Amino acid sequence: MGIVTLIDAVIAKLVADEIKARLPRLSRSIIKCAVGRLPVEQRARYGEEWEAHLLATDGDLSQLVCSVGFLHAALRITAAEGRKARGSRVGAEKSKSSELAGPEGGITQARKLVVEMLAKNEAQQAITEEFMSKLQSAKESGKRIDKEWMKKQVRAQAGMTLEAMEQTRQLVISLSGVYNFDPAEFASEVDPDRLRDMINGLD
Amino acid sequence: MAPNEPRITGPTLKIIGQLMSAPLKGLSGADVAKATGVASGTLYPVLFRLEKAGWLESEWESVDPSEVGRPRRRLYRVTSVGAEKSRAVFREFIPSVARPAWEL
Repeated sequence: MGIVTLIDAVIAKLVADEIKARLPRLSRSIIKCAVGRLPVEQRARYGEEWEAHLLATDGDLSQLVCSVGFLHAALRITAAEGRKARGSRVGAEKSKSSELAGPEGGITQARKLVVEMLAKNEAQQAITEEFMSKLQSAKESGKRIDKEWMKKQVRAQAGMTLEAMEQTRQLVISLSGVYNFDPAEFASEVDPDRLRDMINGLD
Repeated sequence: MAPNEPRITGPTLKIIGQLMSAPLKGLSGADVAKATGVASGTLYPVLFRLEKAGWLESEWESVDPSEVGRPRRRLYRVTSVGAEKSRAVFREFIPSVARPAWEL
């Protein structure tokens, strides 16, 4: 029993060290992903601004939380820009369809929920990519790591992301019918084919 | 509410309050986040909306990134229009005991 506990503790420590070593890179990957979600004309500005914000934030974990926040921010800014652009096209009709619902209205809540789910899916994909790239670089360099454990992580993360994506897709379709919005507004950066390729390429 | 006016929420009030009492050169998003505790996912959409509505203006800090060894910060300031509207909002939303110093 004592040996098992000791092995558990050593593995937990190794995993913690591994995660700590990855966090700064992961935060930057998430910022990249967030910036990629912004309208093209905003990308350079927020790319630099958020990098500076990240550097001003103390602690790897706080930086990770902050970068996930940027992903959420990017989706909300993009949605706001989209609403504005559509608003200028359709004018009063637009204000009837969404703003009349009010801040606590169903459509606002529905959009918020979808945006949050998409942000979580993208963060999950970023984690999967990170595991995959670590695994590949370990294979190429011949570095000694537990490849089976890494493969298991990639499989689990990719599987969860695919499942979450499917749930989000179903939700967007249902809500778009109820609240009369265009599902295409919530296009996602998550690439299911890439995730499936990752899982298939592991064996 | 006019179509271009930002929605006033708790975080919006905190952010405007912080920027109203900020130095002339303005505050970066990181400064505002630290001072108000508003998370980055909420902060930047609010700053974006306030800037679009003309309540805030922003500019890059005047440093050379290659000299300071870090990216430039974007500094936000309340515009005169924003200051006027913010005061009206604070009068409406916050009782006198909780008003910011410039209102007392």
